[in-house]
Amino acid sequence: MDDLSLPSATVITGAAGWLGRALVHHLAGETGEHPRGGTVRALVLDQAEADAVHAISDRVETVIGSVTDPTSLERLLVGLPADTDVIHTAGIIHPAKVSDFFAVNATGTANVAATVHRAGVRRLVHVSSNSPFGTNPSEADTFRAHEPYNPYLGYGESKMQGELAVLDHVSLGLDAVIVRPPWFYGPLQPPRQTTFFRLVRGGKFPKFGAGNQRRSMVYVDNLVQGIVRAELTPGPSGRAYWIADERAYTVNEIIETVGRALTDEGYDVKPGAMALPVIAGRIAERADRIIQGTGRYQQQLHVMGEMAHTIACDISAAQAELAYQPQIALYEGMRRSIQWCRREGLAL
Amino acid sequence: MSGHSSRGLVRPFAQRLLSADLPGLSHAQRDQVAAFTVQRVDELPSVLRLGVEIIAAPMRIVVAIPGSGRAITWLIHHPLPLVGEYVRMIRSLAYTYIWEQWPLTLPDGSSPR
Amino acid sequence: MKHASTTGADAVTHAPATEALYDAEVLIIGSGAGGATTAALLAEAGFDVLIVEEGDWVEQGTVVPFSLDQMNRQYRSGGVTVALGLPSIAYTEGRCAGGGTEVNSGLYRRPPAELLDRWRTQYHIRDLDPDEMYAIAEEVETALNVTPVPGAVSPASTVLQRGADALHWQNSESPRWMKYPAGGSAASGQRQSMTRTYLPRAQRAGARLLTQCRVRRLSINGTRASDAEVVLADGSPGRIRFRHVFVCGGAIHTPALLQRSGLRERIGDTLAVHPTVKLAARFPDPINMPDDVPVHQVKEFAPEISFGGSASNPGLVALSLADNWGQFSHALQDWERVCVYYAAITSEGKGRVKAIPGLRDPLVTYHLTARDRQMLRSGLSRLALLMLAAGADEVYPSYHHAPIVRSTADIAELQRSFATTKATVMTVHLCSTVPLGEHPRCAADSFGQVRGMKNVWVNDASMLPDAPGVNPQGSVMAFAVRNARRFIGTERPRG
Repeated sequence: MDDLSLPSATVITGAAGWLGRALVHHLAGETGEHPRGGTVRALVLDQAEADAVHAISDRVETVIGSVTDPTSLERLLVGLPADTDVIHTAGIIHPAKVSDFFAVNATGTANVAATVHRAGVRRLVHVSSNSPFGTNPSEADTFRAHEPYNPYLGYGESKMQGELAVLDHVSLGLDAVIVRPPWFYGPLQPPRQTTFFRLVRGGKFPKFGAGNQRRSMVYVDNLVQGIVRAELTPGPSGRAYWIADERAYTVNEIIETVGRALTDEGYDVKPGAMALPVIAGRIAERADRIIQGTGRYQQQLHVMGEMAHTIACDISAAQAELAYQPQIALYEGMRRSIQWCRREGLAL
Repeated sequence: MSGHSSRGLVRPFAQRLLSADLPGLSHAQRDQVAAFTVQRVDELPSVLRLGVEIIAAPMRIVVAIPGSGRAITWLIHHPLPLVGEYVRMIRSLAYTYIWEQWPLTLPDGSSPR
Repeated sequence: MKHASTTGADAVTHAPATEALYDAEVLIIGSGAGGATTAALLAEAGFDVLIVEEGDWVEQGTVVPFSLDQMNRQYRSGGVTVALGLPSIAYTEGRCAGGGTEVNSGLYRRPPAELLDRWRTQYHIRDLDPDEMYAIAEEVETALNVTPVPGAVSPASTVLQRGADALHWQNSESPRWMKYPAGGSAASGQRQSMTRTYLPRAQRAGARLLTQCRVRRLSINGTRASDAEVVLADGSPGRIRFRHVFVCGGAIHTPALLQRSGLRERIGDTLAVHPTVKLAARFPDPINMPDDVPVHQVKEFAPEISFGGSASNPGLVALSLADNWGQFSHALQDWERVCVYYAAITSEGKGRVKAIPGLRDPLVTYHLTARDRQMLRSGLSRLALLMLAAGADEVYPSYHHAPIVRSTADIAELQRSFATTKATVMTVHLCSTVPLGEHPRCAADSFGQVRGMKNVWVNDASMLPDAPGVNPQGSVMAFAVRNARRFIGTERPRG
């Protein structure tokens, strides 16, 4: 079946975020891989974010507001034609307190779904996560296209509620597609990702047990391609797709490949990793659970707890139904990421 | 093999569990079901039977204490280790028997009118 | 001493009331999938074969399948047997002429090629040739008339197919050892169990069958066993002298007998099972068929997780709801619209069978690993999703304080509240207590000969190196035939 035509207008929430800026770059930037005409309008939190978006593409219209403020969402859609597509990337992953997860990822997504449904856009692409599905039950297990919810703590719960809110509107007639990316990497990364490179360089990346846990990851440009394919591929409403690199990587492989990418980019790398017993990961997970139970959030603990698990997903549905074809794999993606850091003057 | 029956240990508890779980079951049915559970306990493999009797003995004493109704009700609704396995075994045997024998039995154990 | 060509129940040798002495060239202990095939092949090769069976010969059609009456007559301990652990795992064993083949669901799966390959390399099994195994499998399939259901499968089976198709999960109908009358339907099948196939074949070739005969121990001198002490139907003692003995009493009682006979090294230490959790699901239309089971299996996550349907007469539906009676019991009034389904996993845990001096039955224990617990949680959750995708109104998971699942969001609650210690965990596939192979952990050689013994073999589910992840009877029979042929090729009948 032919693709849907490019929309007259494209709206991006969370446009100043990592993924949002990558989308702005590829859809409206000068060297983007998925260029399109028409209106491109971005929801940003403040003027600083607006400036950051304009630095990538000056033809993007910015609207200052928040998914937590429904009236700002009304403003976001004012004057747009019926063939408008909305790509909802706004979300919060490492907040100050647990309630922010729900305000942004759950209620915020419900606000977006309700507003775009009422306004009558062509299609909503909702960017979800692996987190509503938790972690795989074993290292060999892989998440299929359809899986039961098993939310991983506050973030997972809030992202699940976000999906459910979208699906509620789907049952009432909204055309929406859900995209589920796992851990992503690539240029435009936030500062926490440079910590990742520093840990690998210093031979201190935490590795639990034998390091055979498998992790699906997605290079940010692959993810942009997946989102565009989900937006433009005709099909019934309410479908959901894993968008990730071709295959999952083991933790050992990730440490080795990133180390190699750093070496090949001219950095000194101390081989090895910080070997930790699996039980340490379980303790971190338990502590994370307890702290989140008090409404607080501790990023390092959360990341540690999750690292001891396998999170692997099967992208074959996206390949078959969306003609999604990931172009970049771990080594090349990491080299590009390192090069970007250097251009930005970020110390690794 | 061992000629003795667990009847004295198991039957009173099974009857108490049935009257708590399924108050609508007639006396005659309850006796019949309890007899079936005793028969199955008697057939258990050696080690299991020994284990069941070790758990059943104190339970039998609790059942015999006047006014222990609440304690019994609590015990049969909370899956404790070991004791819970005993409760589950007796309940499983009883329910399977009741609804195989009398498939139209209502959830409270009474027969449809 | 060979009998005439009568077969079946008429040909059963009833033990006399007085102290008895029997002689046999080959004694086969147990008449299930392993024992019956071994008996048929050896008898046909000219060996003088005596089969002893602890249970009775129960003619098909005289008991209702999956009923308590059947459990009484054809299962060990009325079907109430448990491997102790946290949680304990309930299991069942056939104890009758024909063993498990008389009472199971009759679903047949060949051992997958990857499985044979893994077993061969991991356990160093000599001369395990897949071509030979599949040639044997074909032979067995012909003998048992392994066939799909003619015409439409039952509605309870369609549920699995429909749900899996909606989720794009791989599923298929498992063929069964059944004969269907011309124009027959799913419910009209005649089970081609051992009492209909290999046991009569063995008897026609001269094998004798002694039922209700329990073997207490084998007398062993050095590297040879000489005779078996038995208890006959009337409780009197007997003795059977033999040249060779095949122990085929199933994964619990084969190692227990060997241990009682003084053979303990590596025997009984590696019990493998497929731990299984269940749920009941209610649909808008009637789907229940009280005396049969669904034939579809969902193999998307195989071999780690498999889904299928269970026997679901009203008693068994009540059993599946019993853990949460207060919340779930209303479903029983709609039992015709309810069916019980299972999720089975391949476990990394391990069990033990230990014969205890002075006790009739062994102690059986099983330990689930942390990974196994996660797999059971995931299996039950995925099964609940499968039920919703098939159109279930309500799903009732079998564990204490489980929620009723009506939507995908409810499954998140299932995942949160599930714990194996709250669940009814059970299994029907027991194996690997006397694993074969040349690897140091194996208790028998590559063809089932017990290590250190010149005339003792095992040839039942005990010999499978580990849990196959599919219905094991096809694997048991393929290995049993292979090993019996090997025996025939190396030993000569006395004539």
